[in-house]
Amino acid sequence: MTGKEKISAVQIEFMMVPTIIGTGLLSIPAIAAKLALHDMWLTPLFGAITGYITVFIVWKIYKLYPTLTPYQYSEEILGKWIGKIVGLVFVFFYIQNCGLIVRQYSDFITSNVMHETPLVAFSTTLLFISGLAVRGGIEVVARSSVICSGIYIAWALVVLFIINKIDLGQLLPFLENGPLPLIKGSMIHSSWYSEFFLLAFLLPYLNNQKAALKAGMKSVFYVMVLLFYVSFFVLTLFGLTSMNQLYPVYTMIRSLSLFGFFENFEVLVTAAWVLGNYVKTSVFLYVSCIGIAQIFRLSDYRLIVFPVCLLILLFSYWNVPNIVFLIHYMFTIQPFYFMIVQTFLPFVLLMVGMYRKKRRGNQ
Amino acid sequence: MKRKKLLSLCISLPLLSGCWDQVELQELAIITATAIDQLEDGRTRVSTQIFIPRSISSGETGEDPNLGSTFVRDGVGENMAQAISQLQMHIPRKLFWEQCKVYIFGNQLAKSIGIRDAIDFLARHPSPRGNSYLFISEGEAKELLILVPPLERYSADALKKFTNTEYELTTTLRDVDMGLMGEGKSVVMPLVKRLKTQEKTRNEHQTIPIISGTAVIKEGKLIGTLNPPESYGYMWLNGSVSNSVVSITLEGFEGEISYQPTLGSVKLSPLIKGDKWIMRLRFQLEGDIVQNETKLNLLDVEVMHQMKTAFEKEIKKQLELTLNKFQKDLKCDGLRFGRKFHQKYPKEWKKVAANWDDKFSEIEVEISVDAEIRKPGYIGPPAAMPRDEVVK
Amino acid sequence: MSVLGVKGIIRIRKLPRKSRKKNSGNQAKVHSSQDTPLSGEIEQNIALFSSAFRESPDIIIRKIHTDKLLAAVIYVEGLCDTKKLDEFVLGALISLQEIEETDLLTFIENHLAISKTEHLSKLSDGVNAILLGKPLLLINGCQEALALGLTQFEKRPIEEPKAETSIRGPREGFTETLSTNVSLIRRIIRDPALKIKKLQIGKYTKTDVLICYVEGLVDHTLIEEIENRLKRIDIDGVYESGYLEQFIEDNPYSPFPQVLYTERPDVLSANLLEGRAAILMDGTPFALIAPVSFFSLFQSQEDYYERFWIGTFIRLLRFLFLVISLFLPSTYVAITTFHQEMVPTSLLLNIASAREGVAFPAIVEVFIMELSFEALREAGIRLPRQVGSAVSIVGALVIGEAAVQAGIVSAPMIIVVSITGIASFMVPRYSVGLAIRILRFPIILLGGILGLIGVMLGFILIIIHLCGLRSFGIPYLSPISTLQKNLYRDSLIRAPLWKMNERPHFTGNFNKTRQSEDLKPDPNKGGEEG
Repeated sequence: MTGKEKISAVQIEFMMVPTIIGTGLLSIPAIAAKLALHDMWLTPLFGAITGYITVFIVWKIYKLYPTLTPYQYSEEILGKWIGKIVGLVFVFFYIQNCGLIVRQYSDFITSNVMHETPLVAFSTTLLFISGLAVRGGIEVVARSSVICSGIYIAWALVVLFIINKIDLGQLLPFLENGPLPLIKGSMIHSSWYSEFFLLAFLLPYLNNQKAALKAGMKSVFYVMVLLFYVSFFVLTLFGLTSMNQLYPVYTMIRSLSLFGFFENFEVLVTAAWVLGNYVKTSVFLYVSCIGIAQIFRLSDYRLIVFPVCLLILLFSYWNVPNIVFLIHYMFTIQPFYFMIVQTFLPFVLLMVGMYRKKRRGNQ
Repeated sequence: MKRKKLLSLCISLPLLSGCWDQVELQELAIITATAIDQLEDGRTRVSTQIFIPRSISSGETGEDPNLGSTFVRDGVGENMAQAISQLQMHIPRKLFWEQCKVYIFGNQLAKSIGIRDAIDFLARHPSPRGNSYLFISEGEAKELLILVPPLERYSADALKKFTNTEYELTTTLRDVDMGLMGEGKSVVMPLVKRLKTQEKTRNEHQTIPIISGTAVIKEGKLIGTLNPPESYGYMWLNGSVSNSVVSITLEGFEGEISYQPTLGSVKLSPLIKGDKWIMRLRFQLEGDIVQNETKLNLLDVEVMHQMKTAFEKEIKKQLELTLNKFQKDLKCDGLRFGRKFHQKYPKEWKKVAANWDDKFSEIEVEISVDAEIRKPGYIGPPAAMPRDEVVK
Repeated sequence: MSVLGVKGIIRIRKLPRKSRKKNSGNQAKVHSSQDTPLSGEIEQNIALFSSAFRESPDIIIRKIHTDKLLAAVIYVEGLCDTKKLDEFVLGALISLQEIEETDLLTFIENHLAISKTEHLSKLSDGVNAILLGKPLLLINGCQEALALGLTQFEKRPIEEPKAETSIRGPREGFTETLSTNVSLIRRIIRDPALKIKKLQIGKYTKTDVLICYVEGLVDHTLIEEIENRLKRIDIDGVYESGYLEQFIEDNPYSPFPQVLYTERPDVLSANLLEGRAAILMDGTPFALIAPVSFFSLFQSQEDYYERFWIGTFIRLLRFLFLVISLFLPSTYVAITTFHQEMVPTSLLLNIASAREGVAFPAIVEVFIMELSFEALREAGIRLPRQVGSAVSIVGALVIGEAAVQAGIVSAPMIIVVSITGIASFMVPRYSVGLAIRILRFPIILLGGILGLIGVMLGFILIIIHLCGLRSFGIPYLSPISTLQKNLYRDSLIRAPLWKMNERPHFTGNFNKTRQSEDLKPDPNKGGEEG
């Protein structure tokens, strides 16, 4: 089902980076600060380990089955029916999380920028636009991601304007309570880094097989650098008050002042965030749609894009009642849930796949 | 095709049905400053200074100087949130807080119930900004909003311009939040009062608010103020040294020599020796001589050396005064010593964190000052003095 | 069926010709049966032609009756060079002494001092030849007629192209005559590799359409595809290359043009040498160039004739103003109605004062102003020249002032609209400028509904559309979206000419180098003298 569409390694990188950090930037620093206190600036570096591991697993399976998406190769590896069940697990996982993403995005905008507008306006428009992009095919998604991500990453440079107000003293005391808080903080990051499993769905379209591992590793590296950059600034600017705020990165942007004249331009940055969230939603939506199409052997996934969008819209309301719940979920359930589905399950697939290939090779 | 049209119609309907967040500029009441006071009966009064946009096209170029371009309205309630909701009922337009950069707390409020509750409102509500400036007024905060400045558009503008310079101490909402949450549980804020009108032709209220002193807030409540020398000392400890002048007299010579620092930096190094807690304070200054009332020729190396020592002594004295005030009088760590100790000795800090104020008073502070005199100004010997009177 | 018209590889099915049967019935009444051969009897032929040209007084039948032969010349008065006809044909025929009965036509042909002649044997061919301006020579006793290449008609001389002026560059532009246009191209590309394919389109207009390309540089599937698409066109008449454009483009619903048009031979030749194909049509000076990418629509020939700093600067400026002209009005609406906190305080107070007396909400104001501006622009095209300039400048100023005084619009809005208007003129290709003008309005609407988020959503929608758009199989947003490194040198910036070593290789991967590597100018290179 991969068709003739091809994307390049650079496009994959541009797609993966906002997919991971789109919502990560909003939520991670506050939670990491609560757990790791003054060491939160190091948490992205350790969390990236999960990212590298996931990419490695993905790449290994890719080498075994270069043209198949995870839905297809899980059927190959585990047999038709178990494979389909595993595929359905993935599909459900991604649909549910897409709902979470859309909810987070709409929540963020309505609570910070547009207070009166109901959530549905933002959720609907975002899903509609992502639906249009996914209907255009993976090439459209890839190309538009390149442009949108470029603009989205540019906002990161905006933070450089407030360098003069940072207080490096906030980085100390170092490892105050031992390494455990740091590890706990890194675990939170791991849930986001394990989303690199999405790479497995994009690699079959890669036009240059050798560049797969490098593209994946580079993406993890970029994500790590960006998260580190952001965590570092949040900590040095706000210290521990950052753990009290819901969106410390946003508050950081709010205090920017350019030449003492241009202030208050967090709305521009929020608009740039819309771009990042669009990329993330499109990738998740695409993965879900081809999942359903491949599991049920449909001829064209384009027909089910908008119905899946509707489903995701419903999920975005049903998943969590409010943001307090959401943060609790991110603390407790999400790290384990994500790592099991996106790192552990592929690892099992890899092991079984390698074992089978070896057996086949021996016969 | 019919289905597509129906679908697009359905999708566009909710978007067109109403623009919920859309507010025209004419429907906004732009707030430029806010004053929070406490009334005698304990209720909170929130007064806001609202800008009056005068239509340019209507041809009105001159404004009545008595009225100014703003007006003040207030609301009363049990706490700040209630007061504001009552205030909104008195104003036909929607209150727009985003541009308000000046918040003034009344003296009475700061002393009695403290500013912590108000800070909570400001930090929690999405509109007020983290980099808006907070002040404490010497009397009622509201009266500072009524003032009509001769030069600026509105009184808050004048106050804001003070914050741009480094002459005075300024604190933002974020500073206050972090300070009160930090190890010392205290923050130092500027005091504002009305500048007395000098010109006889102007009314009483045609003047500006100015920053007149420094207030120390501990756990949200105003516990004391610093007099001018102490304020200067405090600002020096923060590293902002401009616009402060140190004057000394040299032994045996009449008249004072004044020194104005241009750059200054403070380095705090905590040290724990057994049971004794020591804070080493190294204060490095750079500055110029601005006035010479003696007959000395300042281009002399010996004279420079003497001056340097004298200035350093004087500065050290002032710093000690300030430290004394904080340690002995107020018993409050407004100088963020706690942060330094926490950073370097986390374990020891944890033990004393509960009664940090007492421990703070016991800290021995070793001050060393290094005041560099870059140049004696444009001229060496005193001006307007005949050659033979200059002492070498 | 995809929503955005993404077709992947270029492939269009040929539609069956269903509805033409009626028309051909009508046609049968006008002409006699299409394949009537000419007879040897001249009177019969003359009768056939007379009946074909019944109500046409400008078609002249001139009989020649000498003692040696009986002939007739049929021609259209305004389309022939009558001087040459009289001198070289009639004169030669009249003064013929000897006649060879066998192969009479060839004999006479050899005695006529005409360079281009053609033998025709069918009535329809003869009629076509006459209508194309070639006099037809009928000779008694010949089964065939001779069409003489004596076409001459009033035409516009070669002038500077009015729609594409430039400060530096050749001032010759295409005219309505196809032969002149081809000659202009041949004067620039003097290599036999320049190939031309001829087609005829339009039932009643029978317009000549040429496809030009440079052999060896272009991908042949492209030429075949263009030819297929052109041959599909079954229409009464084509009047302008715009008709052709609208029938052969990939996505007719997109506001963005997928085919470039130009009036300048230098632009055309440069594009041919980059591996593109050109379509020229008789009757219009505008030639089409395909395939095209979004960035090539932002190139103007002057970028290349001036040095690269200027080229790069102007190009970047163009992109900046593209963004401004698309998004400035909607951003203004979004900021003043949703995000007032973004504006610096003093500016906000000023704007608030300016908007105080205005009756309309910001979005209505914007629509009023934008629509008036568009109306002014359109009207300005049709105004007579003397009145035009006065009305535009004075009128705009006065109207703007009066509108502000009356409180209909506010002064900041006038500034926004003027800047937007000026920005939209920065686009070198008028067709893209039109697209932007159209797209501005939905984005203003989005901005008014959802603020800056709406503007951003509009931006994403446009990007999605552009990413899926193809022009003859080439992705519209290449090279940015396809990330081919060396093509960056000519898209957002303009690298120095000596660095642009490769042709854009969207059309096939052969023959990439267009200039040698070492061309950077240096006083030390070249020549023995230092």
